[in-house]
Amino acid sequence: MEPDALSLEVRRAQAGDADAFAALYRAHVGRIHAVCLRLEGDPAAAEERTQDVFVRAWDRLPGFRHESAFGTWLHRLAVNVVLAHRRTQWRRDLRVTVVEEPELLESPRLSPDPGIGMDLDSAMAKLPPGARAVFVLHDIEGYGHAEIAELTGIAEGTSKAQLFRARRLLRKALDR
Amino acid sequence: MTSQRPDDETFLRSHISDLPRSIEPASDLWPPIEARLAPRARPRMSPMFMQLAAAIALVAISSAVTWYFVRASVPVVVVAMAPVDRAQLARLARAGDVMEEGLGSSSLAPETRAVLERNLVVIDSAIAESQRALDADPGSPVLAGLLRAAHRQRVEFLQQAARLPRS
Repeated sequence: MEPDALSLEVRRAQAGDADAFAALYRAHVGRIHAVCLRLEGDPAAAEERTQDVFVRAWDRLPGFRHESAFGTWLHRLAVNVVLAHRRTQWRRDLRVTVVEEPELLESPRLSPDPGIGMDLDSAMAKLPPGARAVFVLHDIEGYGHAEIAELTGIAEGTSKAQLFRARRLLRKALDR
Repeated sequence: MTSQRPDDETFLRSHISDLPRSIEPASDLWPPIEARLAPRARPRMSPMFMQLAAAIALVAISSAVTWYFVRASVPVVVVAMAPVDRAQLARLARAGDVMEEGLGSSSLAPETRAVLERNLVVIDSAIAESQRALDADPGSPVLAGLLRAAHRQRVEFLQQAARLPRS
């Protein structure tokens, strides 16, 4: 869809036009689903988050002020939705799993499948959630460590350490 | 001679550049999304319109206050006001009239039209009040400034209205 037409659809959707919002969904779902899939590492969870993102976008659209492109706004919203869900999930897990350090929940899940080559998306899906989130946000989506720290609630140093760890694990998986 | 292994970041860069930016979900997610969308009973006012409405209210209130002081002969301190320019006032009024005519023939949603008309009533009453005050004191730059501001609000408001999506 052309940017001007898209902008018109955004304004119509802001005014409550669900057909216009459906057109926006069709134009953006691939990109948003890709982000959700890479952050979640699981297709079923990614589809749920993709739905959540568009439902949230509909609710927040009246406040969208066209200060950035709609796609940028939606992408940012997607990252926030996935990370917020992950924080809720973590809190729920921690309530039933007594651990001294939440990091212990993140044991590496890279399965040793000797002889089987992996593509990057498959390898990322097997990363521990924390390392995966930092890798996706930093190396794929282009966020800086300060921004990642703000979004995920971790320290910048932790973000750097998680990135180092993610890269090391991914290389190991892809080098096989 | 030993060949140096690239670091992890360099190694991964080529893999990252091969990643697709877009991945369609396995199934169509629109039906479940559509089922979850909260109905919007009527279009909400955009923040821009809310700001305009606030500005209009300010003009109306300041017109009323000034009108009160002028009638009560209480001295008003004027720092710097432009002299009365009746031609400019007439141009602004005419521009607003033309735009309002255009709006009248457009196909706006009834709820949107009702919001616009309510705001126009407020602006028009601010204009009428400022005009009456200026008629009573034709040389007053304060009242001329208020009238000009009210006319400008009307034009700006109608410009915003002209950009609204049509049904």
